[in-house]
Amino acid sequence: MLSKKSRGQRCLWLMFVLIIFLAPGLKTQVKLQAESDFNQPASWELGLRFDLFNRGIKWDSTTSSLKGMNLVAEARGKNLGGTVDLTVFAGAGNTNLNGMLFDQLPITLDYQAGSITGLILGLAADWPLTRISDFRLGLTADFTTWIGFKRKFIIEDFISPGEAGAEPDWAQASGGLFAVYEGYQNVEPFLDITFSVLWGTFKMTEKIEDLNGEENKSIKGSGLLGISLGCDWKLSDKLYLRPVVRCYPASKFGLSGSLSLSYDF
Amino acid sequence: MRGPDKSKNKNFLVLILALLVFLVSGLGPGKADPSAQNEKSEKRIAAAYNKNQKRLTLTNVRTKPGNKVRRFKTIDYSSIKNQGQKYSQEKILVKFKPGLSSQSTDSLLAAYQAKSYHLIPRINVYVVQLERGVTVEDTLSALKNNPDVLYAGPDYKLHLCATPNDQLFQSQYALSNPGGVLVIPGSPTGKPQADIKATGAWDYVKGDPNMLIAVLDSGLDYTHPDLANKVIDHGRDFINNDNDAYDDFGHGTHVAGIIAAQTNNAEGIAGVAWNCRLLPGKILDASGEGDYSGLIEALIWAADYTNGPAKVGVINMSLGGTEPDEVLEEALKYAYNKGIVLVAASGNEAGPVVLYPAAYDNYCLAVAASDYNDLIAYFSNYGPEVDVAAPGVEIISTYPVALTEPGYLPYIFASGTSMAAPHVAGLAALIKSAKPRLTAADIMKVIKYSPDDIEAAGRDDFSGYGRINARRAVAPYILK
Repeated sequence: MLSKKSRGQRCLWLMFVLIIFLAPGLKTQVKLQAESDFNQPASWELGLRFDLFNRGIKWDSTTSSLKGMNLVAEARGKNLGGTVDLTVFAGAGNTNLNGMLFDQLPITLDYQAGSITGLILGLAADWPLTRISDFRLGLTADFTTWIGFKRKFIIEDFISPGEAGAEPDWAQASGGLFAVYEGYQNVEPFLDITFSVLWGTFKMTEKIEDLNGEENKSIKGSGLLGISLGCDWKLSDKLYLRPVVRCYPASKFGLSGSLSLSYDF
Repeated sequence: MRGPDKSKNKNFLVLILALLVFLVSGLGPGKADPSAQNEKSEKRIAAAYNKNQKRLTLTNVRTKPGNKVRRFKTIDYSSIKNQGQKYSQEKILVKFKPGLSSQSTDSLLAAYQAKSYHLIPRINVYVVQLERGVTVEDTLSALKNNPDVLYAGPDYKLHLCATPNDQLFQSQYALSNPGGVLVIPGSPTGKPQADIKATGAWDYVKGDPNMLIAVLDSGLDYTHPDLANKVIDHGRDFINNDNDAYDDFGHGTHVAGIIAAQTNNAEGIAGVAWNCRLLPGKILDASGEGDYSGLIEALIWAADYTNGPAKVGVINMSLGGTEPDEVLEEALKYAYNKGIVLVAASGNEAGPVVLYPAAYDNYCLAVAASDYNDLIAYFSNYGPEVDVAAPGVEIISTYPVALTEPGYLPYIFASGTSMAAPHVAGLAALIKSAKPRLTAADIMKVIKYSPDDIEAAGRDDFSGYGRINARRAVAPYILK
């Protein structure tokens, strides 16, 4: 279960992201109406995406990395309302937070158990603003939340076996600019430069006989600037492949990648 | 220039000779035969203080003035610190499946950016040095997916246990028992690891100077060289109604030394609560007698005591009476509700009666005494109220300088549940230092649920849940 604070924070971010993509969308709509090539009919793509996620994080005074692997189904509405590309995705993923020390529990627990499975949900939006030569420029924003399933462990060596429960969750919100090169026939390379924040909590509980403890560790992403490089590769009239690499230059550990395959209806 | 060189060599030889003579003379016998001295001055101090109801009984059975203390050669291992990293950031260990040619292993290791590597024979494990910029985690993760790899793991760091350099530490089997012939009176043979694992605990926590342990006893010799820097102030004398809890009997000083004698000062003994400090409350007079009223008053005083950021987190009571008392229970409850961990000795009558306050199970940890073989001491009281055991046989600790016979260092060996309780109080202080937000109840449970079971399986009336294990109580449990 998420804490109230964490849920509230997540709702605020979700609203923030929605406002970001709705407000400029409305504003730029008028401007974009004049540019005929932006006025294409809306369409939908359905696809599958595989992510390898690795981002530098901090808790207390420790620097580490949050590693994950996700498989998500995504639906992408292109040119919705004549202006915005909106992607909604959901799936399952693993997150690895090895090395986290819960030192305020009655019995200190050192998490070294590897991946925890969870649900991943999110949305992303792109708003083209203008075109310069073969480049299309615009705003981009995305929000991802991962909610881990509780993983249980047996605590041994004490007077009787105890139990520990690990339950992490995290969210990431990014917003920034994108540039797409449209000069090639079947491939559209793109570059995103975004301001990206990650936050989350790792809740650990323990119980030995009548000794109970709960500790919540706050996680924060390190390296706010994210740079993504990728391309939309048109394999056929309906089939698209989208490889993306994202790095966080200020973060020692930050390098992620994703590959999605989608079908245009 | 041959002349001066020759003279230098000569001087050097003379210096070595002088050192040898000095060392050899230092290894000779002391002034007196220690065992004869021990025998001569052995005295029982538990005796008859429980004759009157609601009188407090000291819970040690005998004290022995210390042997003439020899000078020991010491090495300061504690200066070698654990740097905190669990494993090397440059090296990993890899074992390939049998049958792989050395050419294949070479090319595989090169593919994983090995800067250099060598094989440990017999077990065929490679120690692989990684190129700069290549992370151990990523390399291991890649290697684990390779079907030719049988094992790939980090190269974990070794570190020394925090061993203090105190001169008499080798006699403190209670903190770290090496087994074999012990350096305590009678030179008995001890069982290895029949100790509270203090050195293992000190790797993780050494305590907070603002964490005070109130010693409600016969006072404390605050001039003692191993205690002077560990006493926050001169405390409170409830016998003479002043602020000078000087120990004119000896029991409190001994108890206080076990809890928090100055550690790693190349002198005397080590205290369990390495960095914590002491607050003496004198409730026993010069003959070791005291009343419940003194204890009750001292409990309230200690619970309310603050000195800047320092306040009492643990109260040790190496004493007790045979009678329950509502007011005493109320005073215990008052301190307990302020988050203070209360520790008391179970008593030395070898009977099925745990003394009060130890018998107040809701508020107080009742401590039985064990020995160097993890056997319960013959004198230790027993009953359902006993929570844990700790070493309480032939425990060396501080002794008032003024009461020490000339020619002896101010340390003595003593036995009793009085000596067992302070080991538990010291552990409670270490836990509370590391985890100040834990309640007294939580800390009591941590201590109760983490011991080594030394008697009948599970909880029993002699050792409670077992002999305390400080390392298990404070070290991280690894979830894997």
